[in-house]
Amino acid sequence: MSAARTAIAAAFACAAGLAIARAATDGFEAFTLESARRLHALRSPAPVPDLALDLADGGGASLAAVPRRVLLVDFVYTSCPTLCAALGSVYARLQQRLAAEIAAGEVGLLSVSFDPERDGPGELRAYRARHSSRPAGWQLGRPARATDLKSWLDAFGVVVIPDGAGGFTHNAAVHVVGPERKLVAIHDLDDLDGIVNTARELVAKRADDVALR
Amino acid sequence: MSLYADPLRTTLLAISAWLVIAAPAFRAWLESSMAPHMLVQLPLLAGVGYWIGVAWLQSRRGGVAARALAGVQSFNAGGTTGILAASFVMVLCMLPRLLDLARLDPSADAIKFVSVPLAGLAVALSWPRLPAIARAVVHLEVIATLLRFGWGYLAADERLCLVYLVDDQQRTGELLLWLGAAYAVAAAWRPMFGDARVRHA
Repeated sequence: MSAARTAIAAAFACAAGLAIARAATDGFEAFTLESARRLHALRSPAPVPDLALDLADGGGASLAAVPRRVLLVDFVYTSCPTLCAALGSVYARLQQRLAAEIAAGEVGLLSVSFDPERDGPGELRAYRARHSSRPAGWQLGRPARATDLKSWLDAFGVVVIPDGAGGFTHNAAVHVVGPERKLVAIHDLDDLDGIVNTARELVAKRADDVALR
Repeated sequence: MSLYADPLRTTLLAISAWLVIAAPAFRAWLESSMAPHMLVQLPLLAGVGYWIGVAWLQSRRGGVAARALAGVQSFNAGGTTGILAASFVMVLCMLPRLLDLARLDPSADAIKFVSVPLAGLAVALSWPRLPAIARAVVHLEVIATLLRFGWGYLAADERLCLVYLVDDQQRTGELLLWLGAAYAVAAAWRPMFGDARVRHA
């Protein structure tokens, strides 16, 4: 009697355990939060809320109000000696590779500072100037309020922690926000080709949509 | 052992210990870095459940607790169900994604604070019923799991947990390897060098 009950209970424990493990890892595909957010962006792009930003070049903007169809968003702090410096040079190269799309007003680059206390407009412009001689298509900004900063980070799944040496450690990546302001892809910062291809595909798709109309 | 003299008192003590571990300040402190999160908090939580389980096994015959125990154990012949369920809980809790979630999502942390003690409880109820060969398999699996996770965290080039720094991750990996080695020695000691009578006690 107990053996039969146990067989059923053990089978149930196994089935439940596997089901929970499957749900918690997106079908055994994402064992880290970083791979999970990338997978979610590809599988089911979520709309990004209409977040506000104080721009380094003056004025404010919200995500929906930026006229560019495709936005490449990254998160930086300008006193960062490592990843953000790399992101800066990636953005300078994206400016060159996507020059035509940027000139056509289709693609925009946006760097968001998660260190708004230290990164004023001057610091942000200096950060851009360190990497690129032209501001073309590359906007920088900082969230106006602390609550805005949290909304920005949460919307993109960015986690920022103190690095123990006065700076921050963060999951650096290039986030592609497509038409309808959905987060459609997250690329490694050294995946320049991938970023360019995704941006061009989205621009081409837009051209197709226009042609169909 | 006096610790288990009075099942009710033991249970109350275990619940108090759980409340201390769950207290916001202590919880934040243990979860502030990866090594104490994995190597102190999770074992403490499992230990609390184990402690309650041992007390439950000693509940007075004929009492409500003893009858409830008999009911539960009727689904746990040979300790199979309990050990299986506990394995799933413990392995899941050590995944980088769930370590992150425990820090970032209070409801995920709450689930951990309930499920890990339940896993400890399940081990306490199941271990005495487990046949010797099954115990050896469990020991091997614990050693393999500690080494697997330890090696994974130590060898990873990138940060696997978003809320922990890379040197913290590597230190945790190294400690897991040491823990796996220590567990292997402890598990092998009695059958290899110990008194045979102890084994069958």
